[in-house]
Amino acid sequence: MSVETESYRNPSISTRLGTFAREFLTNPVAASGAFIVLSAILVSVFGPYLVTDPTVTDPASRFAAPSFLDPSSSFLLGADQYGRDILARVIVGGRSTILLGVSASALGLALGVPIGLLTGYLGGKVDEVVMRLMDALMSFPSLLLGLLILTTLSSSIWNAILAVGIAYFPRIARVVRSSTISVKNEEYVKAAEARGESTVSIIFREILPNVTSAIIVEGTIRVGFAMLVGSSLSFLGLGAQPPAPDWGYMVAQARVTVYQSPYFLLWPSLALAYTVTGFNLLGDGLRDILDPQTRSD
Amino acid sequence: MRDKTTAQPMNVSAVNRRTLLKGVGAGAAMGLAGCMSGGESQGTNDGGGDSGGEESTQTPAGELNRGGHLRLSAIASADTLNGWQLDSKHERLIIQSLNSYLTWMKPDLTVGPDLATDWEANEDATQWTFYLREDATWHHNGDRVVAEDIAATANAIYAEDSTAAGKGSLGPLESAEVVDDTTVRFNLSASDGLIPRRWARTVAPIYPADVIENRRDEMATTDFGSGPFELESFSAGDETVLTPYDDYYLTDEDGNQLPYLDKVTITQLPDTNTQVTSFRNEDVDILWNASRSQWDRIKSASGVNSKRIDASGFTVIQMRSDKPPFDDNRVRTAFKLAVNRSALLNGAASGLGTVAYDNPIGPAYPGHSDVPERTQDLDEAARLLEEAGYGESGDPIELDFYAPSSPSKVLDTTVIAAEHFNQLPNVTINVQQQSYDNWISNTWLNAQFYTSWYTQRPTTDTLLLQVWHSEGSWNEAHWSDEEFDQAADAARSAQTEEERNEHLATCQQILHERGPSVISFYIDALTAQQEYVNGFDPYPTQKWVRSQQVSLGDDAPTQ
Repeated sequence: MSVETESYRNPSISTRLGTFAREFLTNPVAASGAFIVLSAILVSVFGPYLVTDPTVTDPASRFAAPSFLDPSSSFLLGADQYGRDILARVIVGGRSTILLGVSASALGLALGVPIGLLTGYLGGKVDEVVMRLMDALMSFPSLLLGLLILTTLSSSIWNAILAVGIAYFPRIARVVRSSTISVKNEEYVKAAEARGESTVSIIFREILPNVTSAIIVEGTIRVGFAMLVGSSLSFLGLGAQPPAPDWGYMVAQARVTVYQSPYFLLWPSLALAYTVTGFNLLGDGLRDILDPQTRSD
Repeated sequence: MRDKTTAQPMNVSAVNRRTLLKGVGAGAAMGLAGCMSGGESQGTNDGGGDSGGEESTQTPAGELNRGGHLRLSAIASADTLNGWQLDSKHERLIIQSLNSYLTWMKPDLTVGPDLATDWEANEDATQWTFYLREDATWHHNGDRVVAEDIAATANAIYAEDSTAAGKGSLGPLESAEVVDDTTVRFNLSASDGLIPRRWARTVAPIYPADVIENRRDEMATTDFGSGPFELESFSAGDETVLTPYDDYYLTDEDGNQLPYLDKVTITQLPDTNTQVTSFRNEDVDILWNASRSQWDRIKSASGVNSKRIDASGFTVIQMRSDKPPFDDNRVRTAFKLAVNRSALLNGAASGLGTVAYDNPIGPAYPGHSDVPERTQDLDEAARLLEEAGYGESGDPIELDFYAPSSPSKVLDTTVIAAEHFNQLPNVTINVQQQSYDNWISNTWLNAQFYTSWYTQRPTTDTLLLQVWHSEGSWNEAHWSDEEFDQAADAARSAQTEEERNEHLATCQQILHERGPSVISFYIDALTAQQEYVNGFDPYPTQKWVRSQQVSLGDDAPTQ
């Protein structure tokens, strides 16, 4: 059963969703990925209402230097070198990191999907010229491209989203293009052409619905990568600015004090690894379900 | 200057005498005796967990020997060999080993001879005459260093279009003239009793007259020094290798040729963590300004002598006073009242220092005067803002607050102070962290609100004249106060210590009352060296490493 033929036969939406949900829940990779991502999102959306302001220092803890870094009953995960609660910072820091990953991936999709669809469907010179440009962009390592963009603009979380989005959209365009090429000779596309429908209509009404699985998979996996690149930029001081709690920036700070307290380095790193793993598992699982040909087993 | 040790004072002279007998057969290295006087810890930590008594300085166990390879390190990059333009610690290390100076600053901040062996002033100290040694020669051509070179250096640093870092801080120089080959005269526009001390600064190396005249462009990349070491290799931003200059003019007390070392390398390391790890692994011999945040780790290393010295370095939050909102002293005072100073001392300097009240002249300076204490008072600060037309019912204040990411004390000061400032009503402060290079070229001297830092200077009035005087070359806050200018000028011209201190006290009072700067703490100087390193004396100013006097014991890994 492939998605393309299913949508061609156009079975009812509820049947398709039911099949998808059943497959999703029985796929351990997808289910565990979804659990991790959901838990990370829930904690970073609602967690901040339960903790103290993570940008504010507790003077009492700072005066106890240098032992203030270790976990205690008032600071479950310890406090950083300014006396700020690490638990609060990790929880609130999830917001900016996940927001960065999701937004940058969304930006990459917004730019990459139309380009991939257009070049894949039109082919010929347009395809040649645009894809060579994409190749040129892809030949830059994404972190380097991000650095370049952020140094030219200024350091902020929004510019980091822009930088990561720009660094990733050529990859998304390429994936969407190849999916488009594989469906553009299907009979339903030929039929639409025979009906005399416009190019835009064919691309968005006939092709797009049949490449969504590729887009969903690519978009999900990109979130994890975008979070890593975004955190690397914050680590280098170009993303989130202090005192904003951001996992990448926290790791950079913790590096200096790693010999005094490894906890400060440990928690944001674990949080980042947990969330990125979640998005990657979810993306892999979705690919298994939506695109059975590429399934590894 | 007292060093914070409870152990016996380090008697370098005695050690050198004993070990030199074994090494090169004779007595103490010149200039090392009597550098340090012992002293009890001054117990300056009101918040930190440290007590001064923890610091220990033992008598060095190593043996003094000729030869060996000294390995220094720096975190900032070195981009130029031109000592007049130096702006990083790495450059400072290189340039002071390559070059000679008119005078020499000893670790106790008294002045000693270098190229000039003697000097005298006229009656009102408007004219200073320096008598030069005859045996100093240039590395690049072997010619003698003569009075013409000193005069050319002084005149070039003070030229109208000069961008030299020392311009303005080396006294009110009008012109330098050659009297004869070994005599040079400085004519001043106002009297100044401290000229020999002012010239003992790392930003004032002496260069040859013909190079200054004809080959100025090459000074950034070529060794035109007459100092103890020659340049073997230099690549900007990487490692620098120095080898001894055979014809160097200084000998120790017993006539042994200086320097003792065979080789000096200065390596650029990425951060303090790496630096401290390298030091603990004996890959670096001296930490001449050790990391505060890693002080426990440095002190606890085995085979290491560490030292904590009272010094009056500080971080300073500059509020640019030539435009709103900081053109109003009520706003500046509100910001000064907003900070919790002991929190800043603990958070940004690991508690290794003392609290300050917006006075750049700390207790380690002669001429320090106490200003009233200023503790955090958010209500009074809010009232002042209101009165100035800001605050709850007035205009909002929203500012970007810049800091370089290194050194960490500066970023730490900025992050913690921003938190305090944001407690003020209708005030939003956004921290902007920058790379050091970006900060120094774009923010410093320009931005409206940023954090800067200074180590202690050898003369008390240097920073006052350079940073807060309206005509100072580093007037960071674009501040101008006539009464302050007059007092600072008067302090420079003063003939007696008493008169000088009186004017200095006025300056400090004015800066406390209406200056443009928040200064929350004075930082102790921290240094550490491997036990096998001899002859290295830490300076409270943390500017000098007298590499010509350093030697390595037999147990050094690179001996």
